Formats: sequence, C-alpha cells, structure tokens
Amino acid sequence: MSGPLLKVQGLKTYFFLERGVVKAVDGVDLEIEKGEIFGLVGETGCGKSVTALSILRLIQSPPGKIVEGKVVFEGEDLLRKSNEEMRKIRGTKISMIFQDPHTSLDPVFTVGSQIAEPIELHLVEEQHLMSAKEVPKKVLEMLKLVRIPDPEHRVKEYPHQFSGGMKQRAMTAMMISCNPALLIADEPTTAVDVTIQAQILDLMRELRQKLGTSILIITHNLGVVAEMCEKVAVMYAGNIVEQADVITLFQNPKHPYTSALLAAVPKVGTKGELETIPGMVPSLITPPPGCKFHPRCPHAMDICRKEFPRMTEMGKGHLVRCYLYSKGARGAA
Amino acid sequence: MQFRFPGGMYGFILKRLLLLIPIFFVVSIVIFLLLPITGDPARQVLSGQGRQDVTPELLENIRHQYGFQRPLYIQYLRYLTGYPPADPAQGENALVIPKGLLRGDLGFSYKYQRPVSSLMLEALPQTLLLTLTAFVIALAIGLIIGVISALRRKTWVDYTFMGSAIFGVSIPFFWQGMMMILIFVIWLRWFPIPTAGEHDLMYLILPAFTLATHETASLARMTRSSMLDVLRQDYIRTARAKGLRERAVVYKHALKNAFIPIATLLFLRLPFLFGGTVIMEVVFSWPGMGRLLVSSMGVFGSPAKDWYVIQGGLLMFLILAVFANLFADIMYAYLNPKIRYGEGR
Amino acid sequence: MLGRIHDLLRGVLRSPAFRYLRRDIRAKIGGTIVLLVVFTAIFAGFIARHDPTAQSKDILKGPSWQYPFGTDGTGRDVFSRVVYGTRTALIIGTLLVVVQTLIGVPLGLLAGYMGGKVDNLIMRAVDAVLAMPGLIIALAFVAIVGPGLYNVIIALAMTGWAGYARLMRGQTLAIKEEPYIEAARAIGEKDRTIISRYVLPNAISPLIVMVTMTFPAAILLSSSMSYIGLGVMPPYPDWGYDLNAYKQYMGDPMPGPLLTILPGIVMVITIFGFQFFGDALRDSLDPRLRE
Repeated sequence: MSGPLLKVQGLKTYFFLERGVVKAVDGVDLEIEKGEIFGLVGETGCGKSVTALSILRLIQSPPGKIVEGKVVFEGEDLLRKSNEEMRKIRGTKISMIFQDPHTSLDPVFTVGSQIAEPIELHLVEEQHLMSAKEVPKKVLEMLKLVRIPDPEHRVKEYPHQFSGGMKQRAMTAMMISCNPALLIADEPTTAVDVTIQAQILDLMRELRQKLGTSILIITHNLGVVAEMCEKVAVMYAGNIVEQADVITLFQNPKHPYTSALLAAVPKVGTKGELETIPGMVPSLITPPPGCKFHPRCPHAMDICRKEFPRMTEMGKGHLVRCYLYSKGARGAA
Repeated sequence: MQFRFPGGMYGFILKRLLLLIPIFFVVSIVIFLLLPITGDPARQVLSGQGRQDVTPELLENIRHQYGFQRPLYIQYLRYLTGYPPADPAQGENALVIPKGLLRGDLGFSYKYQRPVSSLMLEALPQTLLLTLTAFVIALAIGLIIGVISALRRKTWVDYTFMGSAIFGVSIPFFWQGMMMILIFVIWLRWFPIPTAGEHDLMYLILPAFTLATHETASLARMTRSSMLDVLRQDYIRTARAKGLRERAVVYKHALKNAFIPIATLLFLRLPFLFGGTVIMEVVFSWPGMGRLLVSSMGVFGSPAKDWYVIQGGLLMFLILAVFANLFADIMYAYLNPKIRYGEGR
Repeated sequence: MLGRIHDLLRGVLRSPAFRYLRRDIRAKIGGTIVLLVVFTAIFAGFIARHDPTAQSKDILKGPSWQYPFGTDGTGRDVFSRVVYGTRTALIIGTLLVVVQTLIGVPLGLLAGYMGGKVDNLIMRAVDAVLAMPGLIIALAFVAIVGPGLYNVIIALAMTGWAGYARLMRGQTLAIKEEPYIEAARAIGEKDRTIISRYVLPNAISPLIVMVTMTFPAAILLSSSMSYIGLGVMPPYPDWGYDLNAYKQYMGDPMPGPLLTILPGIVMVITIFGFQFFGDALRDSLDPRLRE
C-alpha cells in the first residue's frame, strides 16, 4: 500500500448543544506518512484534541457528531467502518495517549491488568499473534520498555501507587503494547515535569526508530514541536491555518497567527514585555465571517472579513490559509 | 516505645472497632438519661402504668422501688453493671432495679411482666428478617434498574424507570402498607390478614415488599447517578480507546467503580430503613422490635408507657445503626484500593 | 433596597439554571403541584366547603358534590380535612426548614471556615447524628415529651439539622479556596464580613435544593408519626392522623375504603410534587448536567 498512512480530508466535527452548534473541527485536512512524527499545534480550544478523537471515532455522540469528511487510514475510510471494525483498530492499529494520566487510569484495577487488557484482546484473541500464557511476560516487557523500575512488583500495584510520570509511562505502555502503526499523543508533556517529559519524548523517538510507528503529537508547546516533529500543522478555531516542515515553519512562518505564536514564546535573553496576541479566541458557535483570525490580525484586509480563505501551496509542502499569499489578494503564487 | 498504627485496611478497621467503645458509652449514657430527664422518673413510671391514683406516698414508694433516690452516677453505674445491687432495706425492688447492661439486662417490662432482654431476643430476629428481606429485594432490583437506566439514558426506558422511582420514594410507608392490605388482603384475598404474632412467609411478603418499594426506588436513583458519574470519567474513555468491547467497558470498568459509593451508601441507608421497618411492623402487626417499641410508647391502643421497653428498644436500634455504619466503613475500605493497599510510595 | 431585590431577581431569571428549569418538564409538573398545594394551604378557608371539625349527621357518605371526598365516621367532610391538612403539612415543613437551618447552617459554616479542631469536633457530631435512625429517635422523643405539632418539629429537627450542617461545611470548604476570598482577606476584610458577603450567597444554591427536599421528607415522616399516634394531634388536621382513624373502614364496602384511598392520593401527589421539582432544581444547578 502506497501513499500516506493517514489522510484526513475535510473533517468536520460539530457539537450540538442547547446554546448552539459548536464547530470544533470545521474542515481539516491532514496527511501523515509512515514513520513520520507530525505535530498539531494550537491554543486550547482550537480543536486539536477533537481532531484526534475524531480520527479514533471516540467523540461522545450526543452531543458531538462527525458531520463530514474522510479519514483514510491504510487506504480505508474509517468513518465508513462499523463500530465493531473500528474497535478492532483502536488500541492496536491506532492508539492514543491522553493528557491527564491521573484520571485516565482506572483506579480499581491493577496497572498490570490494565496493560494486559488490550494485549489479551487484540494480540491473543483477535489477531492470534500470541497465546494467553505469554501475556504476563509481554506486560513486563512493556513496563521495562517504558523504563518503569521494579516491574515485577509494579505490575500488581494500583494506579494511585504510581507517581504522575509513572502513570504517564504506564499509559504509554498500555497503548503501544499492540504495535500501533499510528500513535496519537494528546499533550504528552503537559501534566509531567521536565525530566519525565524528556524521557517520554525519547521513548517516542525510540518507537519510531525501532518499529516505524508514526506519531501525531498534539500540543501547545512549541518547544516539543521543535524537538520532535518533522511536519507541523497549526490550528486555529477549528481549521488548519498553516502547515510545513518544522524548520520552514520556525524559520519562515507565513500565517500571521503562526508568527504571533512564535513571537509569544519567551526565549532566553528576551528582555522587555511578553508579546501577546490582541483580542480573544473566537466563539466556535458563531465564528467571525471570512477568515476566523481577521479580528486579531494586524494585516487584515477587506476580503479577509468577507470570504473564508482557501489553502495556498507555497512550495515544498508549505501550505498557508491566508489572503496575503493567495492569488486573489496579491498575485504571487 | 511508640505505638504505630498498622496501615491499610486492617488498621482502618481496627480504628473503627476501637471507636465502638466510646460510642457504646455515649449511647448508653443517652439512653440512661431518658428517664431522669423527664424530671420526675417515678411519676413517669406511674403514669406509664396507667395509674391515676398518684399520692405522694405512692410516689416515694415507687421512687425507692426503682432506686431513683440514689445519686445519678450510682444509678448509671447500676444501669451499666448492676452494682450496687438492690437494697431491700431502702425499699428497692430487685425485680425492677437494673442488673447491668453489660450483663445483658435491659430492665423489666411492666406490661409483659418479663425481662426486656427476653422480649428483645424474640423480637430482634423478626425485625432483622423483615429489614434484610426488603434490603435484599431492593438491592437486586434497584441495582439492575439503575444500571439499565444509566445505560439507556434519556430513552423511554430511563424515563419510565426514573419516573416510577420518584413515585416510589414519594409514597409514605404506612399508606402504601394500608393500600397493599386493601388490595391484596381485603379485595384479592391472596394473603392472610395481618395478625399479631404471626411471622410466617405469607405474613412476611407484604410488609417486605412494601418496605422494598421505597428502597428499590432510592437505590435505582443512586445507582443511575453513580453510573452516569463514572461513565463520564476519563478512564472510561481510555478503556474505549484501547478497543475494549463495550460490554467490558461498562460491566467491568464502569460498574466496578460505580459500585463503591453504592455499596457504602447501601449500609448507610439501613438506619433509615429501620425507621421504615418500625412503621411496617405497626401496620402489619409484625412481631418485631418496632412494634414492641411503639406499643410501649403510650399510643392509641395501649396508653401505658413501658419505660424499660422504650429504653431497651431504642438501645437495640441504636446499636443496629452503629453496626450498619461500621459495615459501611468496612465495605468502603475493602472496595477502595486506595485504602486497602495504602498510599503509594 | 428595592433596586437590589430587582437586580437579584433579574439575575436569577437570567441564570442558566432558571432557563433549564423552564424547559424541564419535572419543574413544570412538580412546580405546578407545589404551587397548587401552597395555594390550597393559604386559601384553605375558601377551598374547603365545610369546617373540618364540624360533625354532622351525614355519616360515611360517598363522594358527592357537597362532600367531594365523602364524610367520615362522625360526619365530617373529608375533603375539608384534607384541604386543611395541606396547611399542617406545609407548616411542619416550613418550621422544620427554619429550625434545621438555624442550627445546621451556622454550624456548617463554622466548621468549614474555621477548619482544624472546630471542624473535627462539629463533623464528629454530624457524623454521629447522621448515623442514627432519625424516625426512631423522633418517636422516642415524642414518647417522652408527648405528641403535638411543635414537639414533632423539634423531634425531627433533632436529627435533621445534620444534613444541613454537612452541606454547608462542604460548600464553605470549596468556596474558601476561591481566589476572591483570598483577595478579600488581602484587603483586610473581617472574617464575619467575608462569611456573610461572599461565602453565604455562593453557598445558597445547594441549600435551596436541600430546603426543597426537606418538605417531602417532613411530610413523610410527620405523617408517619401521626399515624402511629406520636405526632400531630387534634385540633390540627393531619393526614397521617386521619388515615389512622379511617383505616377501620378499609374492610367495609364502598365508600369505606375511599376514606383511606383519596386522602392518601392527595398526600402522595403533594410529596411527589416537591420531590419532582426538587430533582429538577438540583439538576439545574449542576453545571455538568446542563449540556
């Protein structure tokens, strides 16, 4: 099978609430190649987590619903699959690590049993790659892989007996145990301290190197993006506004939002006030007409207020959604 | 040398058990004070016996018979241990002087002319039978209804169940009992007329079900609420993200977590349930402690107040309540891994 | 002053909680019942056809235009008795709320705000009281002091205050941690100002739910006590007391049983109304459930 591992086209996920329809993801396109580390960046509430959950079809419905789009994974559209087929993909072909390790583990089951669950289900029962007897060994193997000390004892312990960093690692172990082709990490570094952050990122790089796992990292931390990712997409209010390889994005950001984001990160040696982006994040129920960023954009033009901009290709896979670069406004392609 | 309390579950239970001792003393003091608090215990005893001819001599006589002339702390000591024993020289009547709670003496019943403890011994199993039967029925049905309601949230199943549940908790025990008798005993004649003293199965069913109705409704609501809370949690999303079958997500992860608060609450509701049992015993003439208690309180049928029975009955129910709470605590400690296995390293 | 009330009312009517209530059918049905009951209690004199204590020669007559629920063994109009019974029920509920609030709320506030030993002490007492069988203790109390409306209220309040105390304590603890409390302290506000101006108003909403829920409990418990004979006594008309008096007619041919059926249904509907409305009220104040 050739082509990208994951291709998301025109994904729209809306939440139907009393006060209105929240357009959390409003037309997102993504492509992740095999063995690639892809970063999805944006502020809180821009729709990045919802995008990830939509890929796995874990959206709570009601009130959410994937209203449009295609999510083509290994050549097949996931949105067309049955619930049962989708279940066989979760945890084994595509896995997701969640943001808050403290609440993401079941408090009444041992860590070992929780790690064993997907292994027993997918590898033993469904894929017949292993026998039930080999599962405990595999669990220990996974704990060692994520560098949890004294795994023989830890297996029988409960989540509350683990530290925050260990919980994060335990969850990682759970999710990579069945060799996913794609691992989605939702804010993997937010809830842990810096040393654990480094370990987890190292672990992910190891995975990609040894097993060719593609990784989709969702974060608001540009430092993580700079360190880990090959390709980056910037999201704002439910849309991707810029996408490029990491070096290009950092050195040559085109979209005003991206520039502002980069400028807002304090760097060592910076003096003076922190740069902020004026204005507020727009409502996802009634977003501004035209380009959703225009109320806060220093370069806003007339057309920005009227029509929603399409993606412009700037060469070498660099995409921007901004009238500053599209034919309509300036003329340069 | 320092005494370190053992951690984990055993330490927890040990602490609770040790607390029983001061609790017992407090309860015994409160119960003991019931009579002296009325101001004139001798007068209370006399009016309780329905005697109208109260003369000062009679009052003195009774006062001495019951040992009320002794200082309060001596009376309490007697109440607890039976020491000092009745002194006939002071006019104390050995029959009615307390022989010691710790020796199992709960006083003497004027109405039944028997030691209260023997009355209680007969009545306790009946009360427990009624209460626990209702409890088990409510548990079985209520849990299932609650879980189904939670899983089928906002469907007609949910609305029907929860609608019925709200009605269930709105119907007073005694009225429901009356209606049950009206329908099933008087009109349909499926069950015998409630008779004092009878406690066979046929006499048990109606009061047990009446009691169970309220409790089932309550449990169903609690279970639904707990399940919904749990289903909202992140670890349920994790379970789904692992690709687990919905069956495993719900019945393994969700249910087990939801059960912890429910199990605890179950036992905490027992004191309330005992209140209901008392009413049921009155309505259905069920020979339990509740009926004994109420009939000794001086109401319509029997205006005489039998003080020692009141004290004894109250004591029994309070002890039951204390144990119910103890079980609730133990249950919680057992089910909650945070307590059972102690805090992390 | 009037302006402040006006602002308060507007704030309530605009709140998401109120909007939720307006749509919730439980609030509508339950609320209607509650209003009906309150209306009946207030205007009992106009709604009831006869004096509830007036005996007559029409003994044990079935429902008719003159006697909508029929008459009892001494010729009294059952409907009038039931109507006046709403008054008793609401009075008990209201007084119970007042007493339990007066005892429980300050204790809970104190425990939550002071913390430490005070908190410990108060909470031990609360836990102890909550563990007890309230009805049985109430019965014992009435057995000692004698039946009567006010004794019933005291008897029930003796254990009922604990729920209020625990709730207030929980609320106080939560609010205590809020930044605006810290800010108030930072500008030097006195403790009692902080409590009255910030903690109390914010802790009100769950309290309102508890108050609403106290009514069905009060009616349930007090009518049970009256049924047994250890509750409200004549001349106050009480549903429980009457039902006990009428139970002797259950085995008779109609209209005998109606004497126990009809008043009972009114009682159940009343309790149900409060319960239903209370449920909706509780959900409306829960931010999670609003989606």
